[in-house]
Amino acid sequence: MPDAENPSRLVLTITLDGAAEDGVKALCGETLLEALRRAGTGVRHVCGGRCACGTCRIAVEPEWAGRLPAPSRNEARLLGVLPGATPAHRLACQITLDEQTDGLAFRLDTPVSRPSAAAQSARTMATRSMETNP
Amino acid sequence: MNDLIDQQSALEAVGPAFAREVMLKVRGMTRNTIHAIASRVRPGMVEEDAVEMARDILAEQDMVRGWHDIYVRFGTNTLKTFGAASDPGIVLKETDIFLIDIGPVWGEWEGDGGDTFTVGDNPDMARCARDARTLFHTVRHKWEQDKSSGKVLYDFAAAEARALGWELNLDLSGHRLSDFPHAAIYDGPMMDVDFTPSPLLWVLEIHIRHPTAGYGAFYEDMLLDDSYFPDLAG
Repeated sequence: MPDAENPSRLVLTITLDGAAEDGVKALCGETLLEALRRAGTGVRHVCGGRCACGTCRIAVEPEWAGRLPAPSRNEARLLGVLPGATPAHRLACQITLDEQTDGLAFRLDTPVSRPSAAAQSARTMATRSMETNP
Repeated sequence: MNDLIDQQSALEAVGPAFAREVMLKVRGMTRNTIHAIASRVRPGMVEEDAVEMARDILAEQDMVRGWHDIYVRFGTNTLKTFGAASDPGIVLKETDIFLIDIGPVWGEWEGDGGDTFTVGDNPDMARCARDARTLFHTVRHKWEQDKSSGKVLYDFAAAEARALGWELNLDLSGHRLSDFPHAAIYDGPMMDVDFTPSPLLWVLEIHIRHPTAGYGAFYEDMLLDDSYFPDLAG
């Protein structure tokens, strides 16, 4: 819909965690992360939106599957190593909003660490070390 | 006094996955990766390609994830502060300087490291890279010997840098490190703390700049005692 104060820009409504009646107001050209931060959603962004940490992960609702531009090589690689990865996941910092994303529906899905086999092995090693060297 | 102890306890908290041995393991992986990246940087390379190469090397080490972005900066971009975008398209010259700053996450644990390298035969650039490393250890020794606070350490670092003819960038003034994410505990600079930072929990950063020429140097590593720096022996 047109922005009354700045007609050259559009205001999008995005649906967060099913809260369709309120939604999140967003501007064309900003990233989804920027919109979520401004809306005070508590979205995490440890690396500051640089596609490094994965904490701004979202899960796109099924009706939006395939409607966003494909992730870059770096985004896809990072998404692939985050705990609980699914094809619905994207990073909010990598989605630039435009008219095509008006109505985008998703939920926040901050990765919860479930250690990889190598990391689990390291954790076991550390626990053993602490037990033998109190 | 009690307030200071309370502040230190709060700012030096760790998460549930924290493990001393693993933090040291990730430190070693981080430093090895910095040198692996540096060994593949060549004159004629464009900075953006070096960053992509660094990304691939980190991925080979199971460190795709980072708590901060990957920085490989060439030439004049070595003046840039943390987080600042590099000027695009900078090519490494035959005689030049470059820095590497990575903050990988391996499993649940954070690493962080930085170093500076030179190509060619410019003695001033070589001294800049060497002085960043020297200053790191000079400041670290003060921490070890005097039990100085973060604030005192960076006042000292700035004075020492000046004495060597460099300007210290205090935007990069140390920070916490922990199981991911340390930012949930304390996201501020070590320079702001009035207590003696504990070993293994903090990173000491040194970013110096030439006052007029267009380059600088960076070095950072965990705050640890001499026994963790075997290269210093002899």
